[in-house]
Amino acid sequence: MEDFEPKLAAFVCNWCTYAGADLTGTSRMKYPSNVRILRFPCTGRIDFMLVMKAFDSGVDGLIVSGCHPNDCHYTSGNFHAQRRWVVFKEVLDIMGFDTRRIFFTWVSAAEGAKWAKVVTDAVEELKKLGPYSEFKKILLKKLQFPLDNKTADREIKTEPVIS
Amino acid sequence: MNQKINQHIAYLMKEKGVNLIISQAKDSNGFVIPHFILSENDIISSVIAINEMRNFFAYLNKQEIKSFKSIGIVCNYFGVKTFFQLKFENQLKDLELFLLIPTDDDFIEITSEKQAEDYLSGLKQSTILVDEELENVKKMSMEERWNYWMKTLELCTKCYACRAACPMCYCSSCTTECNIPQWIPVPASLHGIFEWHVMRAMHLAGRCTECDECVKVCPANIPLNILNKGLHNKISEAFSSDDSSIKYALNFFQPDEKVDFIK
Repeated sequence: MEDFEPKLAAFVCNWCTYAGADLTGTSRMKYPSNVRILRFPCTGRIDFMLVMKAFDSGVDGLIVSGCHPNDCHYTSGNFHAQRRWVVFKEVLDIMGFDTRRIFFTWVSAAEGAKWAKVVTDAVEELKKLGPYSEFKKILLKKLQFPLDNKTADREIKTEPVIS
Repeated sequence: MNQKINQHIAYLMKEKGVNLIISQAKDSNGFVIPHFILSENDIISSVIAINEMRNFFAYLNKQEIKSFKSIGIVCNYFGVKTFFQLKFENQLKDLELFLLIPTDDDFIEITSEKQAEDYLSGLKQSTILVDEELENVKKMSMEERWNYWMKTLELCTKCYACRAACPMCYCSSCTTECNIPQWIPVPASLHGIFEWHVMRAMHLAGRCTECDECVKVCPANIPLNILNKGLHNKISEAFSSDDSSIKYALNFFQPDEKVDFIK
């Protein structure tokens, strides 16, 4: 896996992390070029479906980053986002999706060095994990009908209500 | 339905001006189906155990049913729970509702949120079966879990019966119908199915009443209740500091919340 270069997307908020990433550049700090930065108005705007779409378009990993709690430009966007991510991560965990590939961070506009570190660490981690072939497999696979999979005989039981 | 409930339905239609009663009946195959009572002649006596009863609140979100204004609905514990949640989300405005819950040889009538709260506080829902299934899924390794779901979801045809039957899925325009951008891929492919189920679970997170209606109507018998229950557990565990009057956890936050995976 030496020569594997991961494709990494970053969903960042306009007010903190985007400015932070800008600072990393202007202070001439080096970080891997694998990252494709997408600017969002706020972390509260980062719909979980956009995360799914990123993996659909073939990324191996994703950084989601925004303002630290209490620093949000819109007062509470990141608090709402935080709750959404807790729930979203649980859905993906139950479904067996590799949540190690999604990196949630807070990077403020002054933390240029932290941004460089976040990206470097993410790329390092992804190089260890390799390409996300499991998800790419289902992107390519067309279902053939009729299916030979016959798991539909699962019995439905209704649960009683106890007083 | 038992004698007393039928008498009460006749009374409601004659005296209270109720135009429609959504009752329940069994079809020739033994499935529980809705039975719409528009006049006293439609009243039938059928025997359905309280645990077999289904949740037909999804009909109340339809405009043609809403136009009846004054509606009675025969339901069980989950119906009352749904009523409570829909009231909170302002979906039952301008509707006069009579909830009829059959008991052994009598019935309970609920018309207000206060009565519903009293009724719900006295009862507890059993979750042994779904807890066991959730436990089994959680015990698996990540790869096993992924394979398990992919094998199960392969049978999904995206018929959206789970959406149609869900009393909480009332949006008049759903994300699934949006094609610019195409959120849920239309072709019969696993990633579209996967995305639909993630989306369904996320949109119901913290609102699901766990009536299992989605599981009962699923032609592929996909155990969606595992996802619903998993999220329910996560929300009550992670946001336990919320006070109990909050009915939608994702619409609320505590300023001092700390999440360990956000570095």
